[in-house]
Amino acid sequence: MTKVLPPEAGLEIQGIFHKYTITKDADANATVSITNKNATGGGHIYERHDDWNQLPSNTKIGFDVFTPSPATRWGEGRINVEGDAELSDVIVAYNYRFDPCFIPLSDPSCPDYESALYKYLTDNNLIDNEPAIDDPYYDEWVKFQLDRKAEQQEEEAKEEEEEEEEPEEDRMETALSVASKAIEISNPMQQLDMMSQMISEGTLDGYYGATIEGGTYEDTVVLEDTEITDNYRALRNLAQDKLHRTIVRSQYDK
Amino acid sequence: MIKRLATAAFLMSATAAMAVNSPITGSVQPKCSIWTETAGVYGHPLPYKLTTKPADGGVKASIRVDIAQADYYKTKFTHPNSFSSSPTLNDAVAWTGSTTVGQVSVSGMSAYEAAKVTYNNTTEFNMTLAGSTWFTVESEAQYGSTKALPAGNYTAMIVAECIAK
Repeated sequence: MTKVLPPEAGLEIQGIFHKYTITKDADANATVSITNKNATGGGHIYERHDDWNQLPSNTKIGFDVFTPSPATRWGEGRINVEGDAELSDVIVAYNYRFDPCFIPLSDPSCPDYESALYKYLTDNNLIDNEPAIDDPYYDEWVKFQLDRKAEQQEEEAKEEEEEEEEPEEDRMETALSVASKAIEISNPMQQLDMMSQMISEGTLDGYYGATIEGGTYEDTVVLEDTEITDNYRALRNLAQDKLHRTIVRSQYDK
Repeated sequence: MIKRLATAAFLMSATAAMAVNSPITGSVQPKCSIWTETAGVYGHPLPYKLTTKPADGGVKASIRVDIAQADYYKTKFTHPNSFSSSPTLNDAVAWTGSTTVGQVSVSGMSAYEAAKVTYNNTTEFNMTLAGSTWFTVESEAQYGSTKALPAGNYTAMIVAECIAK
């Protein structure tokens, strides 16, 4: 079948068209058979037998549709007639479909391309080793390495960012923990307890026991006599304020 | 009073429910269809003759009949015995024609030809098998014995029918 069907992998046969002309006497017996061997097992994967017993000559056209099956299972095909008849103008055509992503590595747009590439690199020990320049996936390997490096850098940057954020988070946690105790702090009995605790520990001694030395504190700022002009801008603003107030009030003072 | 009204309403609704119509629907899909695969063309080998014979420059009509259910239909082909449009003709036209089984999709259909019934300009086939059958229709018109046909366009109709048996 390799001579008939395209060599691409992933081909599936889903129908067979046939057309032939049989020439025979109307009272003769004949059977036309169209078959394909099963390439992966015994017997035939496709069989058609047309009974032309006691029938006149004619041209037959037919199209058989079936569940798609891999082309690799389709072996040698043939059409032959048994009996007293001859075939002419024979056409047998295979209807097939092709899955371009049957081999995911064949196209980067295939859905499983990335996992297939990773498997290829792993299987060939190329994750950390540079392949030969003529390797069919050399470009992909370069891209993979660049992506990998970019991912690593991204992860490192993320980790650094997380480390920097941690102290700030601690401060936030402390603030939040204090906020939750606000009710407790506002309790007068609690405050009294806190004050007595602070006094007993001598925390306030620094304030109460402080000694301020006596003396004279001289003025350091000296204002010289001069003429102070009116602030017209301020007056204008005040006038506008008054007008605004009047307008607003006018809505209610009717 | 309220109770009486409620009872009356209940009785009325019960009466209405008994009169409900329940429709049963269904659709019938055609099991026989006719398709013109090749429209016939008249050749003009002689001044007085129009024919669909390829040897005379004509094209035979090919009509395909698809049968989805075996042995429920017969097909009837009527080759022309008049023009549906033509220039004015002042003399008689002699018509001949035939319908034959062409290609088949099932070998057994080849037997249709021997079993066909022909009368007047009509040919009947008993469609005993499911599948497609191509019928070839020939037509020939000869004007006024051997009189030249007037110039113009000529059209004649083949009537193909699918009839339930």
